[in-house]
Amino acid sequence: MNLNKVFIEVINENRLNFYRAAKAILKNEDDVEDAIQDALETAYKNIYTLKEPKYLKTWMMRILINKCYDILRKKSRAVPIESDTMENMVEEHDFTSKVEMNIILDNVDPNLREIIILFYFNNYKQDEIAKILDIPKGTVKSRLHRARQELIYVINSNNEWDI
Amino acid sequence: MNDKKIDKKIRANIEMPNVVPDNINKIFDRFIDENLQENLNCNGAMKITTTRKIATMVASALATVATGGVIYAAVNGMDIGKIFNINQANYEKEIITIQEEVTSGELNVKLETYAMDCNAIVINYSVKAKNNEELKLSDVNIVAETYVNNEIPLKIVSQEAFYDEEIKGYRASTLYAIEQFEDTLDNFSMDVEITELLGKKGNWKFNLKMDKSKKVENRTYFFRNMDGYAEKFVVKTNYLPIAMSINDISVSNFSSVTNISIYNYPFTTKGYENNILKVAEAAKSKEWKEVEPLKIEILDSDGNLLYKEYYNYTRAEMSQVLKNKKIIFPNFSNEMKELTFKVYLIGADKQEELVATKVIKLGDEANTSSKRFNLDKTVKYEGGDIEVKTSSMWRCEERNGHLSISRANDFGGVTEIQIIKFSEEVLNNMKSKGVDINSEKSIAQAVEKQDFESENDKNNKEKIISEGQTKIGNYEGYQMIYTTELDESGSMFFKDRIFAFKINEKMYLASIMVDSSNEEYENCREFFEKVISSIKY
Repeated sequence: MNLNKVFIEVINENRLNFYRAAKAILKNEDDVEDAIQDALETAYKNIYTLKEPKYLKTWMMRILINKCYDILRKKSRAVPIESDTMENMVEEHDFTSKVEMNIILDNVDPNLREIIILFYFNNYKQDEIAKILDIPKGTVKSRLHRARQELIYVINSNNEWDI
Repeated sequence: MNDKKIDKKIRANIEMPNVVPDNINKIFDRFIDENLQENLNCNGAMKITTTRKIATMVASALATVATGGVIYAAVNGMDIGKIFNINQANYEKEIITIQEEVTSGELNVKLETYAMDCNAIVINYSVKAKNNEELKLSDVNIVAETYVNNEIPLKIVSQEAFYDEEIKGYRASTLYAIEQFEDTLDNFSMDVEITELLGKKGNWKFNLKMDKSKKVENRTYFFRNMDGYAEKFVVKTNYLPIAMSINDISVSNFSSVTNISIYNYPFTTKGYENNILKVAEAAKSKEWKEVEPLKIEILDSDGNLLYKEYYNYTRAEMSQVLKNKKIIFPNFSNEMKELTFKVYLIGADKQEELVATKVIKLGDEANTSSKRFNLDKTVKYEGGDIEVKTSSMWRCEERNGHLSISRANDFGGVTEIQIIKFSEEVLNNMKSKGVDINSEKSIAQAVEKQDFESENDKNNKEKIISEGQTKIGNYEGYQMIYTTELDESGSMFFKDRIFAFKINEKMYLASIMVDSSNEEYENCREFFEKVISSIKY
């Protein structure tokens, strides 16, 4: 198996997923760039630690999520996370959907954010999410159940839509 | 409504980005171009297509055997030092005998010996006919797939084979560059699967478990700026200039390895930067894809030639990097203060024109690695009402209410020192969570707790290495050092050192965080303390 070829395929097939995940956590475009750049470099540097190349996609997503939190924690010391969120929400962006995505994430239990990003934004399967977050599949199911309830509440509060 | 229908409806009601913006695509594209595309071309199937004329090899082998002066000649009959451009005497000291035989098809192949240092491994085989009859072949090519630790493909950098009268068969040697595995040499194994040997198909598999006791230290020189990029220098050609950069040099027992990059001109030529229309226009020219022969030389500070190679370059389609090139040459003494890289353009009449010279400083005084910890620059942290001394090799900026002092480190990550004067808003936020905002200890512990919680992953393991009241320079405060492991193996982690202290009764926090490198943390430990000690209100 040619690992470089697999690496390129995984990057190209998951550009949008990587971007959505980083954007959902970080919001600020400069931070998203930094996180993606760092994650690619870390994955490349540590690829020999990956035991199964078939897990490259989930492994890279995990690295990316960790990089995003790395950036968040650096920023959070200087600015309370809540203020940071508000500051970034009023930034100008070239698409209008972002605010909606962030409103959802800002209004759910922080422990459920990753599940929501991976399942609803990136369409990962439950077993892939278990691999990325390194948690049992049963935990994914139970968190997903809670996430679903919270999402229904948040979306109902912001929309006319009613389930 | 069942869960699937609810999920579908939820997804339909979440607005999210549906396209990847150009700035993000550029990051992916550049990463693939610079790191993966080139390796894909040469690492992939590892088909080595070089075919050498046997007559030449026999002649050189006979000469070596006749002199018989080198130990290796007795083992294999080849002057490996000259063939692979490594230090022969030091190479001989590292030889390990294996004598493992595999028979497949018509051939019996014996892996006889190998030798390795931190940069290179040489593997030596003998090849005989299965029926012990004299073997005569017309091709000396070796096609092999090689994997390190079961999964990382590795290409043969150079190979050689010749007929040996004594064994009525052939001797073959292969050279691999392994400097990328320096950190893992304690747990290094190689699987070599030869699928074609000297024109004969077959399957000869060998596994090499490296002898840990043979691991030696190397010394590495990096030539990168704060952004992690090596300085480019322009190389004149017949059409438009190209550019090169010397990225690093690793020196070990019998070999040195340098990684150089060769760049397409539009990305380095004034007026063409990021101007895709100009690039597209230039690419239409017939000269764009012309092959131009170059010669690259490396000389030591006494003018001795360490390496010489002819290289026919062609411009790639539209990519920034034409080639990432790995050059292996003999090790050199740590007394050596500089190396000179010379590039010649070879004309149609074979005349050589010197088109670029780059002198690489290796000594401590000249190397940026020592300058990066000098306090040669003063920066103001306006929001914190202080000024701080730091190194001009680090990037400084005030953002989001704190002073950030950062640099790309030698381990692929970013090292960042932060100095923060806590705002009333942050302190009130902490106070509302029960933090004693007048106590350095309480503040430091709150920051540490927040750091760990912000990772939001219960599987991460946190470990406090030390904490306590301490003094850095003139400042009394509370220090905590802790790591957060991000994976089971412990190879990915954050290491933090935070120091909460007061200046004029106002609470500050200085911190340094390093990503997955204890060595980088140790490198910067003293610098961090010097920066704090230099703070002036």
